[in-house]
Amino acid sequence: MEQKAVSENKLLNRIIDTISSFDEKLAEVAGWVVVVMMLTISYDVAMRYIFNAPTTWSFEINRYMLIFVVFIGGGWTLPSGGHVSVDIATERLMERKRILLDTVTSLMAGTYVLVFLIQSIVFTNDAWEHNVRSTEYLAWPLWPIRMFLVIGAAMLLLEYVIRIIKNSATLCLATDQTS
Amino acid sequence: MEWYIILFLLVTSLMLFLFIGVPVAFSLGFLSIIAALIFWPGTSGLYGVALAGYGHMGNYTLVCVPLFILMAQLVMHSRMGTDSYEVADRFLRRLPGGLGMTSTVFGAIFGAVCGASTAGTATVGLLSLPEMIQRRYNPGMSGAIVAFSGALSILIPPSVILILYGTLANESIGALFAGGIIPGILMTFLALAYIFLRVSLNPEVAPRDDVRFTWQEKFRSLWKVWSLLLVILALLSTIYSGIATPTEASAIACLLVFIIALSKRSLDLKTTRKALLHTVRTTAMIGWIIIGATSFGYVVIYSGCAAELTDWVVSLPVPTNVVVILLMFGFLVMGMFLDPAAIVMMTTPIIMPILTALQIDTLWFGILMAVNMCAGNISPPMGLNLYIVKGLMPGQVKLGALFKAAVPFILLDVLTIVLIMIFPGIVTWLPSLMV
Repeated sequence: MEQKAVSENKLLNRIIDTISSFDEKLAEVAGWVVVVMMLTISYDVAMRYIFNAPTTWSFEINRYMLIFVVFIGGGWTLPSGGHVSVDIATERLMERKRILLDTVTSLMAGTYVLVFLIQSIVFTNDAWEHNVRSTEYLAWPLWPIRMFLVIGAAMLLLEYVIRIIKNSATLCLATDQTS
Repeated sequence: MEWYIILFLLVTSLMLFLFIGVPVAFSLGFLSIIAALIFWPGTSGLYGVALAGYGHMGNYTLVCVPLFILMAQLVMHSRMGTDSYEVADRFLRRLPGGLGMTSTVFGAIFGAVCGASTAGTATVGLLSLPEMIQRRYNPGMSGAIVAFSGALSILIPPSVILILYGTLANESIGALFAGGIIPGILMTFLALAYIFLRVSLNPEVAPRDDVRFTWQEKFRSLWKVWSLLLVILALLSTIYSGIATPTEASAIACLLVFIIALSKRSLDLKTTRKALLHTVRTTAMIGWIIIGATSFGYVVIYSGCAAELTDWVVSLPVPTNVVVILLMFGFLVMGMFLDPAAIVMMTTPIIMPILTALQIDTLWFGILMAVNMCAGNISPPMGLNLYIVKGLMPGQVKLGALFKAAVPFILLDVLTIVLIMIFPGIVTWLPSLMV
């Protein structure tokens, strides 16, 4: 019985590691996108001041890239401990209670992320159905940009779901051992 | 229900969520959706509330946030950070509490390339804490100095807090940056004076050491940092003179730092990767805080609480300055619990009508608020910088000692606020010279 639980936990850990390293890869991609932002804006400034011919796309594309960085890069922020939270209450608790509290707070945060995910799907679908385009020079369809919100929220939700499952598994295991 | 009861309930639930450890961004978001379900039953309310922050994400001015963060990361991870620390050290080491003074001055210099206090505190702490501990400086005081010096990044431009405030208050970012310079220098000198006094009165908190540098060594060390100082100068002057927007200036300054780091051969692929990952992590964190805090602000505004609050504040039979003092007090309390970015995002839309009605200068107020956020970042029980410092000194300092040592530094911040209120010129003089 115990062995089975341990092997289940191992599998769970492997899944968690795979997802986290995937999130980290995406965060790295987002990091290079920041480099592209740096280069394109500098290029735009150079074109304007030296050749008096600013680009038509820099202004718009860089804003889309910011959305990409926040949402696509944001999946990794949670597993890497980047979200600011207060730990004065949690650090004094015993292991078991700490995990229990962490499960409760993950449920709360996860609920919010779920609502955000659903609303951003509505938002993206709206752009897709009505073929909403940017009102600026590029006039790009906006659904792919809004899709970043959906992907980012889904990744974050996944991280929270994993955390909740892992906590529950640890709690169940501890109960098994004590009984 | 009366508006103040609603506001009270919102604020206490928020504090509860934060206290049990829900991340700031998601505490705000979760509370907003609960409030939305109560105020506007059905799912239509959720749409507006959840996506309220999306508009900010498409704001071109905010594009400079990841770029300023990357620039600071590059300085931190390349030799440029260590080099400028060395310069400050050579000039200040012989004074009483020299290492503490060095970290303060370095915090101010690093603040001029760094926009967020977490990165500032981590950088100052990594360089100066080990040495202060080795030289038997009082651990509480050392930690508090680092927390204070790191918080200077909030005020000294570039500053993410001032960028967020500027976009919401429709105030020129260039003017805000210019307004932050003199108060930032003032705060640095106040801290130096405090360290000098404290160590002179009580020498055992910071034992003197006999390392001395010749003037030749001092000035030779300057050679190492001239390029960084040039970038800072170029950055501030182009924004200040209006040649470039903050976003353009941030991209170019970041590129220059990249080139300098590469030419010094102090940046390889591994460090670049690390810097990029940190940049994304911080940007995403700030992004989600913007989203959560905007949702919360949306609830407070559309539930009618904000308008009632404005009416109430404006009708108070007191002089304008008393209102400002009350607001400052409110910010100070919020700063004890919340992240500065969250405070700015949720309160600015709410207090703007109050500032307009009472004809309070929004530039001056923004700087006051930024100084206040510096205090919030180092004030117990939830001042973020104190926790970062504690993380950097594992087992060397108790949180209680750190809290106690931070009090004089919080008072320095309050003193700065008082000085700015009495002499508004400290803030407004430099921006008034702008063309």
